[in-house]
Amino acid sequence: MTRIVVFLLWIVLPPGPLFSAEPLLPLPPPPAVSRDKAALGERLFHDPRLSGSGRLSCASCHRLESGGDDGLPLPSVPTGPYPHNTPTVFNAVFNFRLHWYGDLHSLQKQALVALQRDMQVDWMRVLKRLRADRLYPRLFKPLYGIIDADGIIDALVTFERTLVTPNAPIDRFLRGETAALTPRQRQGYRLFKQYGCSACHQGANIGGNLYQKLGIFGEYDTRDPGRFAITGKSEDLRIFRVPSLRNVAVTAPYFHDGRVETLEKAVALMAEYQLGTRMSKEDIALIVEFLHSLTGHYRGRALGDMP
Amino acid sequence: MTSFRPTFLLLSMLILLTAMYRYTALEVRHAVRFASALTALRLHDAELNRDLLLLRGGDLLHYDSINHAIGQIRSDLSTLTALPGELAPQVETLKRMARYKAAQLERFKSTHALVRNSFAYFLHLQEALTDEAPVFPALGAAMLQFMRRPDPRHQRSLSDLLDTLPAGKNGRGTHLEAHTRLILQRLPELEEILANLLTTPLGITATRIASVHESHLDTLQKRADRFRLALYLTAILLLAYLFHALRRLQRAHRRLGEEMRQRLDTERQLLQARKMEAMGTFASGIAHDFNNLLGSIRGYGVLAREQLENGQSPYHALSRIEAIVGRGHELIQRLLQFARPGGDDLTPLAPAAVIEEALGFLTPTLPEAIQVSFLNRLNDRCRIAARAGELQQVIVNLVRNAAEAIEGEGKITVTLEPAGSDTILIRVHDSGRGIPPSRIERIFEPFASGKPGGLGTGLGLAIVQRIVRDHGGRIGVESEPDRGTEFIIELPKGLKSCRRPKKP
Ligand code: HEC
Ligand code: HEC
Repeated sequence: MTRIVVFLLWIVLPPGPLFSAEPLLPLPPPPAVSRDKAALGERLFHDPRLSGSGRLSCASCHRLESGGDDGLPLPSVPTGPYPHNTPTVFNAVFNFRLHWYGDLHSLQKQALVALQRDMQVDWMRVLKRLRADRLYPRLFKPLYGIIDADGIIDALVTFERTLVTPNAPIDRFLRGETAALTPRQRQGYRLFKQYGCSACHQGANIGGNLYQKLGIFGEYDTRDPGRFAITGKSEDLRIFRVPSLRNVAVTAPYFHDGRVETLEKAVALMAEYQLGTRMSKEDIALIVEFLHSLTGHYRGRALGDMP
Repeated sequence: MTSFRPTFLLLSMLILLTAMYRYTALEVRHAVRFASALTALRLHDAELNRDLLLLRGGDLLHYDSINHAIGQIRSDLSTLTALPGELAPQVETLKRMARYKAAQLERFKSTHALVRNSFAYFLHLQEALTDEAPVFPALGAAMLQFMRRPDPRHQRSLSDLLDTLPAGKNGRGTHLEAHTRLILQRLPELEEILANLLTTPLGITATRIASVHESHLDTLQKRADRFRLALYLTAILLLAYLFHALRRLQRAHRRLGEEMRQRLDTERQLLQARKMEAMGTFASGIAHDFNNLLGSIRGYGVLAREQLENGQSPYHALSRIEAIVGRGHELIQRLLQFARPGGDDLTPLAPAAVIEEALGFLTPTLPEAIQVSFLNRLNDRCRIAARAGELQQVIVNLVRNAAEAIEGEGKITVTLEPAGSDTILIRVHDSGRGIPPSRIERIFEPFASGKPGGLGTGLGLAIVQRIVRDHGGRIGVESEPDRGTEFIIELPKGLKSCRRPKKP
């Protein structure tokens, strides 16, 4: 009798989606952009002259040859009252909002904030320097005319749009190539869905498309107020943008404060605080193996595998 | 008709059409864009609502598509806002609704993710625990009811069951309870948010605005139709004007042709008259020659009579008379030939001989103080295709004009020389007063004669030009005031080369 009821439950109830829906989607192809602008943006991205100190470029904190982050718990220079771990710039274009608070709507606005807050840009000086440069005026001329802040930001953003990492094993798997994941990774994926991780980390970017509280089952130990810092609403306390898990294996350390050094710990914490459960070591290992299948390619190489 | 009227007409039409285009066409374009943005908005809202229901039913497992839909709605609205129109307040309403919906959407996603993940976990645990105590299957059944319809009755039966839940192995019962409580707490909230989202009348309002806009679009379309009509009428008007102008052009063309023919006629008549005039000029010279001839004849006649009376033979005197009469005959022949109206075919002739002869007639009629010389630089075999009479007429006219340009002493030089490979030049140069630059351009026009007091017919140079052209040649003039004038005639030569062999 009980078995029949359970059976009925399984048949009638979701998640037994009518058509076999997957919570994850393969990464869409990179948006088409002007090559020249992207090349100019890449040059600017690596140019420390954009910063007030003259020593810091975007690439100082977003190292493209590793995971697109800095590998530090917190950036070496202070970035506000609640300093945050540097997220990767890879696939940022697919996030619905930017930053841990998800308070920025566009890459343009983010680049402006990065230049002003993180790099302490002195626009007058930067423009003067770039205009006096041997190369920049020639590169800007056909694309933007003169060198100005709008052009610099547009070029940077155009470059960021090219920072996508397609062809991760998970993408090939989702496109039907079952063997792209190892059997243990496939098991990990099943657990990822079964435990409910995919309730929050879903979609093409495996996260990055909704807000969620950190510490649903039990209070997570942090003095960061979350989106409350932006909105001032009590219901936004400890609410963060759910981060994308793409390339997560190469972007340690983890969480907004960068206090979590390993994926195993991150997964265990997630299970505890987000799912109210304690995961076995084996399940954690399987899920971590699955998370390794989310590492994609940039310029023909697997991320983090750059010379 | 002056040129002012068509210009004015065209200009005003241009202004009118431009104004119409700017106002009407642009307005219609905006209105159409507005309508299509409204349609897009309705579609995207429907898409959003559909995906919300799919998410609620568990048939959609990610939020990308609803994020995409709300992003589209936002961009539709910014299109609508960017377009000018009387519907701005309504668009503002739409924007308010969309903002509300976007905020609710974030709540929905967060709550939905929690419920969904707890529910997944619930199923997982409940299946594992189902054999441990009968309460677990009962809990599953109650959850089924509650998930179907989260009303207070089902809520109560579910929470009643929770109170009797045993702890289970490794606290799994506790976990199950935690997730069940989360669902109990959050599902009604999710339902409420969903209801808020689905009942926000974004689509309906857009539809209503669309129907208002439709009538606006209708009026615009009617206005555009009127504009098209205006365009059509304008085109007709322009066509009529074009037709009228063409007709006038045609008439003018015909009149001009008629006039041309008349002119040519008079010119031909005058050409003949001019010949006669030249004849008159010759008459005195000829009379002079004839007088001499007659004088000689009389002299020889007297001599012959005296010789007869003296019994001498008058043979010599008579043969002289015969010769003199022969020369008189020749003179008459030439005169007749000169006076004959044109129309002969071109015949090969030696230009030097013709010119020499004309000068021979002319020179005696010119004042003593004018010295005429002729320079022939062509070889003796040179022949050109020409009509002798007309060629002589050209020389006579030019030399006479030259003579008239000279006051007192002066020189006229006629030169014949080869030019290029297949043309010869006739130059008539005088040392007269020259032609003022203001007149030189019109010198070949009829009645442009520089002769004072109506001397001549005023057709001299016009006729010269005609003749030269009829011969396939060209005529030009170079003049320097007070230095003299030179007319240069270029004529095609015949078959034979006219160039003199180079002197060794
Ligand atoms: C001092 C280190 C530092 C520098 C320099 C820096 N960033 Fe960042 N970047 C960060 C940190 C820290 C964050 C996260 C901020 C937050 O969430 O509050 C971030 C976030 C971002 C994000 C958002 C990623 C996401 O998914 O939310 C982008 C994009 C980005 N940076 C681009 C840039 C660009 C472009 C530049 C150069 C103009 C730049 N950064 C320079 C540290 C840096
Ligand atoms: C209820 C939503 C939710 C669920 C379910 C959830 N996560 Fe997370 N996850 C988050 C949020 C929010 C963060 C950001 C944490 C922070 O702010 O420090 C996060 C962060 C992470 C990170 C760190 C990412 C980084 O770059 O720092 C990992 C790894 C992770 N989650 C994996 C998992 C796994 C594995 C599961 C399933 C066991 C899971 N998550 C379930 C919401 C969730």
